[in-house]
Amino acid sequence: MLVFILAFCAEILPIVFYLVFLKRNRGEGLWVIFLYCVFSLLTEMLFAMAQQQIFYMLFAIVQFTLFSFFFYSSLEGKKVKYIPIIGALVFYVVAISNFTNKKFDSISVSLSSVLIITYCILLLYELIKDPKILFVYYQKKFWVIIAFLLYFSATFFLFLYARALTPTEHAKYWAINNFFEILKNILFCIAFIMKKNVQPSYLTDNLDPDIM
Amino acid sequence: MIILEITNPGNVSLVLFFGTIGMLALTIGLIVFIIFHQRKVIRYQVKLQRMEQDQQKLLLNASIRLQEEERQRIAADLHDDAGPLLATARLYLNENLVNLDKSTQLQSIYNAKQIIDDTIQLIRNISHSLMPPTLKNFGLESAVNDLFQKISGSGSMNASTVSSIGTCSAWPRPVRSRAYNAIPIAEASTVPETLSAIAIGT
Repeated sequence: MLVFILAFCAEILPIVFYLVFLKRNRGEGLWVIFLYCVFSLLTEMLFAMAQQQIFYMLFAIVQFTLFSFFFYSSLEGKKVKYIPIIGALVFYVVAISNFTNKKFDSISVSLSSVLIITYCILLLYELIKDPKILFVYYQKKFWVIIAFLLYFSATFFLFLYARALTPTEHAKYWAINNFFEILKNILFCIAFIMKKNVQPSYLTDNLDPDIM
Repeated sequence: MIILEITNPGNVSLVLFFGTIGMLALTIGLIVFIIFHQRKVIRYQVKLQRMEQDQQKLLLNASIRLQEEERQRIAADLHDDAGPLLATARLYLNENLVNLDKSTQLQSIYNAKQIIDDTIQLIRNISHSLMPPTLKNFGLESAVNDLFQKISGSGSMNASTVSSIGTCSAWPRPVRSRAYNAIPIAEASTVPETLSAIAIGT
């Protein structure tokens, strides 16, 4: 229960930090993540009130659409740019064909996890290849990718088995999701707080290969 | 989507535990690998950049040293050769010249003229050694060939260039000085290898 409350509170943090540091996050394409955080909070609130599985299913579709858009706008390679679009089309087909209000749709959520992990690896590869970026971890997008990677890889098996879990097991194992939800939101907060394209002065002024 | 469908869940706890741990380990491993790899690449680039800077510094020092040597040589040429000649010419054309008889006056003027001519020739030589017209108009290879023809013109030695030097706008004085230095060293009548090596070395 405590983890659930903490997870719920952690949902609010990225929204607050995005609005506080709005200037730093302009032009970085992070408004998609902000929108996702708002949707996530609204879904949690609606689910707490109505206890309808349909909210989660709708949220899964909205979430994947937002993430696909984020990766589509972030990826710069002409060929790889179309991968999120193709992935989104596949996901919509699977999500609509498995759409149900009774049970958690493990297949489409797991598929979305696999697709998002793939996008993350693609974007991470592009960030490393970019010669303009000296240190990848001073990029806002890097922290967003790490948040996605950790969350979706940690909850992949949980989502895969979610449909087959009994209510007791569900309550027992859902703590994994809550824990990584908190971690994801903390990483989003880091991305929102950090300054734009800032490299530490001690690395740019005096590049000593021995201390790196 | 059959792959993602769980029809018969066995030991859920075990699968969830190992599955989640495995996925996390893979992800963390990937992130750590990327960070370390990038640091390694940057370290290598910085080292390369530093080596390039050192090389440039070395070249700059060599260039400054060469300029300094050249300045000293010009100063020595002017001070030791042109200076005394002009001073001697001035001695011939002193204030007392008007009081001397006509023939002595003419002799003094003639001597002064000779000295001034020598000085003009000397300054021309200095200027020529700094930037020969052949080098300016036809490039380094022609200038070196011209120099070797002059050496060969003496009849006692046959000097020729072997290597292709290419074009160069600056007259490498060491080519000339080393070519002359090579003459007494080379006992044979030809010195092509020595001179081509000198040209490449400079």
